[in-house]
Amino acid sequence: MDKPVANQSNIRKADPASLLKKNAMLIILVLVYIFFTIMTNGRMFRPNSFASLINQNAYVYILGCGMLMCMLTGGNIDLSCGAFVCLLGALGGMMMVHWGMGTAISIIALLAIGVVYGCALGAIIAYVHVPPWIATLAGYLAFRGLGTAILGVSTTNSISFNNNQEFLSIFSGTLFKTPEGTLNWPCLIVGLVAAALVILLVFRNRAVRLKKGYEVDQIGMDVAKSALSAAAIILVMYKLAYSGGIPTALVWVGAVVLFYSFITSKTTIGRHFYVVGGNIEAARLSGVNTRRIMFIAYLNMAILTSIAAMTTVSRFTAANADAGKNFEMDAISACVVGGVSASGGAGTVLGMVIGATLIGVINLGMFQVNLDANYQRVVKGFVLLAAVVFDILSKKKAK
Amino acid sequence: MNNKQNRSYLYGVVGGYLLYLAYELFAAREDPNTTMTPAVRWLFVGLFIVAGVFLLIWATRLWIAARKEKDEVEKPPEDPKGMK
Repeated sequence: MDKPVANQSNIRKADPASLLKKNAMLIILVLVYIFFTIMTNGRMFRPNSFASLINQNAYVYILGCGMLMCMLTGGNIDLSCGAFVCLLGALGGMMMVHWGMGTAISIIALLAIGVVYGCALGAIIAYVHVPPWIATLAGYLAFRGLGTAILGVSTTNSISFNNNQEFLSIFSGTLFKTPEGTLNWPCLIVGLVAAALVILLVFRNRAVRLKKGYEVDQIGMDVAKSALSAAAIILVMYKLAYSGGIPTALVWVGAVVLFYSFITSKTTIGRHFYVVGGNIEAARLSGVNTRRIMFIAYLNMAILTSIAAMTTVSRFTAANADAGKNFEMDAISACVVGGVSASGGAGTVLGMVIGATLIGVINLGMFQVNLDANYQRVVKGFVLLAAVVFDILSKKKAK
Repeated sequence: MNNKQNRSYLYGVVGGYLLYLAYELFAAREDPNTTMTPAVRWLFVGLFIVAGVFLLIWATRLWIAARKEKDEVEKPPEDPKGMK
């Protein structure tokens, strides 16, 4: 392999303004976190806060990946995912608790239901050309009613999973469990390995880009980027190491996020999502099967909703009629705040993760300062409004 | 379905959600545990209603503009030589 050569024409000049703009959400996330850490007298920096952040927001990361893929195709959304979570929770409860089905079979059945719904929804949207917001609005209205009707078999309108430890351990358990307050070595080792991989990936990426003659940042920038990323990973895993181990929710979130990062940045089909969102006619004329891409987007969303439903039900150890309430808005907020374009064709998994984390930090921070639930609603509304206004203004500027 | 139309649907959904948040704030006025004063509550209810309605109107205008663009594109071209 030829040694990559960096010459002056390949090296991008450092531009502080552009750097600030590119990393604005990340900087805001750090500042908000510092703000709440000060306001809570350091409680936000405790190990159990990190564990809470991951466990409480696992569904946002998972649904956010699905919503990202839908929005990339042209600003399309799925309004039914929250209600579908409620329905799947109810069905899971019936299967595991009332009918005595095994955990593995129930999980497969729930995923299969997700696949069936995704195929139906994808076909209606991609091939019958029903607008996505209408097709998914039908689900939003129907599924919660259906879920509530199913849960009506129980006098409390909810089904408890307390006796299904196997299911609970898969989706809301802890790997390499140790008592809180003692250092969990496997957790720390996983963090160190992940940090080393990130550093390796940054420099491998740089080497590949140099070899192909693409522009790269200055070496100092890549060193700083990899060092900061590694430090963040080690910090999170160090904190989790004192909170009792690795939450299984983090494993699910990590797997989903890494998978979709790979798909959107390294595969042809991932690029097709961007191309369809950028200009659907040009994509079609270029030979991209646009209908198939739309079908896959909604099938994918339904499968991820099944996974999110299982993590949610597991976290609450019960299926109830309020499960999944406003989940679709949380996923949309994470995407919009994370820079996913409302017109489609632009947005990254990393951006969505930063958006979801920002919203999660704000929610956790408000909870820890005992802020009235009404003020929490206000902040949620303003965060979403600010993101949408920013999107409108950036579109106007682009024109 | 073009991207402008989809964007209008998204803005419409967000506008609707803001109106829903306004309703939730209004509905929580009888909550004995709340620390939000009535004046502050009405301020935020009003702000969310205004923002929600604004977004809905913006979404509608965007949708109309998108439809007009789509109709223009689909309109058959005029015959320049008047042969028909």
